[in-house]
Amino acid sequence: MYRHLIVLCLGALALGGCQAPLPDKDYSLLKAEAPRSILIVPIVNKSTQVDAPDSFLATLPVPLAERGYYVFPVNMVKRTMEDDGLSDADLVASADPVRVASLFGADAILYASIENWTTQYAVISAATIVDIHYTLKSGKTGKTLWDARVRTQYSPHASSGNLFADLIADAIVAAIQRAHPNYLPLANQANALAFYTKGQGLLPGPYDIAAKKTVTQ
Amino acid sequence: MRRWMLLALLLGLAGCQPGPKYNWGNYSGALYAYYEDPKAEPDYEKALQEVTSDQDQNRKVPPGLYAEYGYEELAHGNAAKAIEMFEREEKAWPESARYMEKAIALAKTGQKTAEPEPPPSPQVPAPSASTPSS
Repeated sequence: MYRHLIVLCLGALALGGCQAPLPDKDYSLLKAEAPRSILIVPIVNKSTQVDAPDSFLATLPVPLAERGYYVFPVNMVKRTMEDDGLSDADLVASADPVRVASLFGADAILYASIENWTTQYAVISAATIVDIHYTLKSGKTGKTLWDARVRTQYSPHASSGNLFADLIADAIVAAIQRAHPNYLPLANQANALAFYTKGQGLLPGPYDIAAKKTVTQ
Repeated sequence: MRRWMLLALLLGLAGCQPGPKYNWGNYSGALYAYYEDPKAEPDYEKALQEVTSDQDQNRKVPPGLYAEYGYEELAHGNAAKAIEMFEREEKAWPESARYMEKAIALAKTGQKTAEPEPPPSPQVPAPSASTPSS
């Protein structure tokens, strides 16, 4: 008998541990439609980094699926769209969302636009700045259900406590960034901020039962 | 009664910092590397193969990955395997039904016209959607 009580208490404690504050964003449309599936379309690129869109695309499925949504297979979708003459991101972005969604049977479409992606180089260091606009549109009405603008930066720097060693390490990192920019850490950081910030992020989807409970409470 | 207790505890625990729901293996990194360099495709395919054959009963294969693996198989002319994967995707995730049905239909027609494959010796019949996946 005691065991029941202990287990219940543990469960209640864990549940109570993360009360979300009231959301700041207007979620009424998103809540009303409660999309189950998200189609990620080609990323619009307004930066000068030519390979940023594909790299960025690869980082989106995991955080969205972990948020509780069905995410359409991004690479297969990309190829399907290429076959259908829809490879141009700007073209897809300006197309009717309802029509695009109906091709795949998607409840909602996620558009992402890389507004800025710049690496600023100093002699011995590099800082990358990113600015991304995320928009979730309804596949039924084409209306915007949610959007977020994330500006963040990443500067790889780890101090060893030895000034001379740090200088050399920073210079090497800067050189690597210049020759072969690594988008992963920054993209992951931007996605986490966009989707998971309390009161601003995307509401949990249908496969996130536990988180959904805490939100509706 | 015991099941209820376990459920309560699991729900409670999951309510806080939800760890990853799915086993993604090396999917993300491999796709990223593949987009950076097309020569990395075999690694991407391997990552998909590993994730979709995960035997852990407590974790679902992540959304989209059966389909991605099926697509890779299709690209290499293995339509039967592709269709099997598309069917598993549809079964695991009803949201994918319309897309997967299209993909299956396309893979089936592609099967007939697939380039140098030895002429119409009928392929192994693809398992129907109602066949329980192994």
